[in-house]
Amino acid sequence: MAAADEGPDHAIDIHLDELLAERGMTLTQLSERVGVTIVNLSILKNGRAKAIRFSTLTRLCEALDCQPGDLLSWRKQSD
Amino acid sequence: MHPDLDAVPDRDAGRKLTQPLGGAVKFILILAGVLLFIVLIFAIFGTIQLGGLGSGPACSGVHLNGIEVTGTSVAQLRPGATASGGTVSLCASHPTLGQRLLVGLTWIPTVVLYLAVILLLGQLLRVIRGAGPFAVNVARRLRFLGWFVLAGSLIVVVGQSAAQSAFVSTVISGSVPAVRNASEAGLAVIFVPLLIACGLLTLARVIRVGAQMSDDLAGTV
Repeated sequence: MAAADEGPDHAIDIHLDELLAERGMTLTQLSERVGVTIVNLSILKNGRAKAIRFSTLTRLCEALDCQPGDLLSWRKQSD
Repeated sequence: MHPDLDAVPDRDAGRKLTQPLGGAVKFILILAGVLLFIVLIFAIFGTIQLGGLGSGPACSGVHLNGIEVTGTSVAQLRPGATASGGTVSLCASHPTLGQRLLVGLTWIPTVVLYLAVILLLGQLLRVIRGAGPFAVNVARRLRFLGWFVLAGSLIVVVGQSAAQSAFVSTVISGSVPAVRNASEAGLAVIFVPLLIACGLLTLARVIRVGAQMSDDLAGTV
């Protein structure tokens, strides 16, 4: 889709990489624990997801033992 | 659209989704192919008469309004009942090539239009099976089909009426009041295609919105 090719239309950053590194966990392990496919986790990790379900967020927070705010942050746009 | 491995691709589901229209389109295309083959075989050997094609007279059924017919009446009419002619079959006993062409032009465009619509429907169903029902491509094809039905019907109706008028003028002396004029015929016959086209164009808009929603859903983790 054109919108996806042009980049995300939001200013939310996902800190999945950092959280995974801090916990010494791989994306595959997280995928198994959370029950979300690696492809979808990659989409989320790369900021290409358009939305995240509360159920997914809950399972991610459980698996990573973190708060939603640790996973997501808003980036102020300079324009 | 992002790939979603959570959604298991199912070819059977796509096939079921396009039924019963898919089956009907397939059946009509096979039937049309077989009929075309038979007509071609018979036309080559000159043993068929089909709407001006082949040997024999070239005939066209035209509306009777204004044509003076003598020597015809409905027998055994009960008292108080009247009969009036609707259409009359006008034939050129020894038709010229031009007359055959004109008679052919009174029905061939409709067949071509129907076949084209069936082919476009087949393509549309193939796209739906491949990309799913809510895709921008599906909306685009539906929109094209709507405009095609509308414009095609209008052109066919006007063209066939003109061909019929031209043919009648070759077999009737004097003025030709028999055939409805093109605009009148267009108004009478275009009504159903107009409704179908409006339906297709509206459906295209609905599918386009559905495609946007589907895209959003696909990006939801």
